Amino acid sequence: MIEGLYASYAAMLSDGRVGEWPEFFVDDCRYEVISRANYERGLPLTTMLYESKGALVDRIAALDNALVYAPRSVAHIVGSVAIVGRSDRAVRARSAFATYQTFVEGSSELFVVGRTFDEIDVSTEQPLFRKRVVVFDTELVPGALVYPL
Amino acid sequence: MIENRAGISDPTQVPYWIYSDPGHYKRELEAIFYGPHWHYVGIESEIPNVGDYKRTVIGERPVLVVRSAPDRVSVVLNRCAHRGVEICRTKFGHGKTIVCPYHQWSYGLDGGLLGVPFRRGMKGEGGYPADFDLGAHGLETLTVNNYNGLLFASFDPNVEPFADAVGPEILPWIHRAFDGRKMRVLGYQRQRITCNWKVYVENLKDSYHATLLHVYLITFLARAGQVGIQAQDARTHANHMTASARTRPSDELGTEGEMQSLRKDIVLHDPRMFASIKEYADDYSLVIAGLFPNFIVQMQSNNLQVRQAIPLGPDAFELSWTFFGYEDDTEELTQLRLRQANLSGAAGYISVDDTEVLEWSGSGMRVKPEDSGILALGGSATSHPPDDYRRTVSEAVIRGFYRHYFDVMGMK
Repeated sequence: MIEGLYASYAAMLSDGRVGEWPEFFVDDCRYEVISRANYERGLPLTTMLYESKGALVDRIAALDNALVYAPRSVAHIVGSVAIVGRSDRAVRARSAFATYQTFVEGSSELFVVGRTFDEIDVSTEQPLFRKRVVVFDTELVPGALVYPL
Repeated sequence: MIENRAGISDPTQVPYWIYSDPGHYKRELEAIFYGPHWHYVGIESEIPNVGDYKRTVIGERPVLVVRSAPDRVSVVLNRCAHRGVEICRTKFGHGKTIVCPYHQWSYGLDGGLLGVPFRRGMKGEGGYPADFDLGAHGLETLTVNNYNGLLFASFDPNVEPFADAVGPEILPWIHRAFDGRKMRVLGYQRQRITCNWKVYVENLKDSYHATLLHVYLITFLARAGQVGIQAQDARTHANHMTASARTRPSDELGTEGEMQSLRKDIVLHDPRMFASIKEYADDYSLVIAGLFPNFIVQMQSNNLQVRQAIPLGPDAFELSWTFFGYEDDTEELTQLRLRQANLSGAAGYISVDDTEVLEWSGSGMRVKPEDSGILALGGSATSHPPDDYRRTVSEAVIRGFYRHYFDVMGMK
């Protein structure tokens, strides 16, 4: 069930169905993207900090209506999914990921690699992220981080 | 490769080859990055204790910024005087001395050479000559300036005093964020953008694009009634400041009714990012101050950052962001600074547009370097009065940068 959540999340990003991204989260969720450098030094500054499902919807609305960016396709590869803790209604899990980007007329290039540390709500049939912390290794992010990870 | 060209003195016609030519880039490194100019290297609170150091770069040269005494910061070239080894490979560290791993040459925190193994050889054989002078073989040391915890360094000891280089018109705006309070670094962002570093410097001086490119900005942040001022230093015209304020005194932006939306169809579900606390005596909600060549302070509501465009060859640069607050900030204020960071950086609601357009500038300028771009908005003046800048639609501030740049590069 947990592996299935990660697989369908990666499929959503790789298929370009990013409009469905908020549906992988509970309403009262927290989504963070943070560099490994900040994470390991205990520095709180994030690259993305969204504190509700509404904030995720806002990101998608900005992608659709406001932000200026070049078209690209994304290959989001996820692996090493492991459950690291359980409670009644939630599971703590981690994963590793690599994201490749392909621009128009471009070759496919590695964008970022990293790990995720997640809390997953399993109180209903469909598991949903309650908290997703994406820690990326990449010291120099190549260009802009447009889509979520 | 283009030979050094004199006679290029019209800042309304900046040739594209200055953004891509490898020979010109090498001359830039020498004249600007290793020449008599101040370069940002860090914030004092990053190295609070004696022996703390951080690694950074000026131009392409790695340097170590070291707390060498309780009240002293030293900046040294991160390269052993012996065989050229880059000594330190970690981003931050702490030590009593700086020791090269290759042959264990040992330096003091201020870069002075303390000792070398086998200086007298073994059993009287080998070793360094009797007249070998430790004092002549220290790490290369840079000239340092500490402005209320904001650290700058220069490879050229003849660099003018920091306050003179900045100019009295701009210094008070640097002081607005760096007033002597103890700072707390909240974190970093780093991007690699495939575009010449100068195009980013232009971007921060370019008020023309702000309300045209940034739909998000005009939808949620900029108001019809926004007023602003600009300033440049009178001597070089290459340091600048832009400040804008909302016309209403209220600094609250958290309610939907307050937001003027150009795209009325975009409704924010979570507007917490736009909540702010008034911190300054003035009513400016956005202040950007830029110092020649590549340093920027931005104060946007409660989000405080310094940025640097570090060259990575002629065709790319690192955009390095340091976000900070103060030691005495409340938890609530820190949260606001962190939330508002969503506007900036690699994924920022405003910065994504700039990053993308910069890459397109890079690719566009490279294909026909003999052509020139146009910087004629507002005429040819390289400065304009500190007026409401919306009534002064002008690229004068960018021309001011190039006026000084041509001078420094000997291109006049």
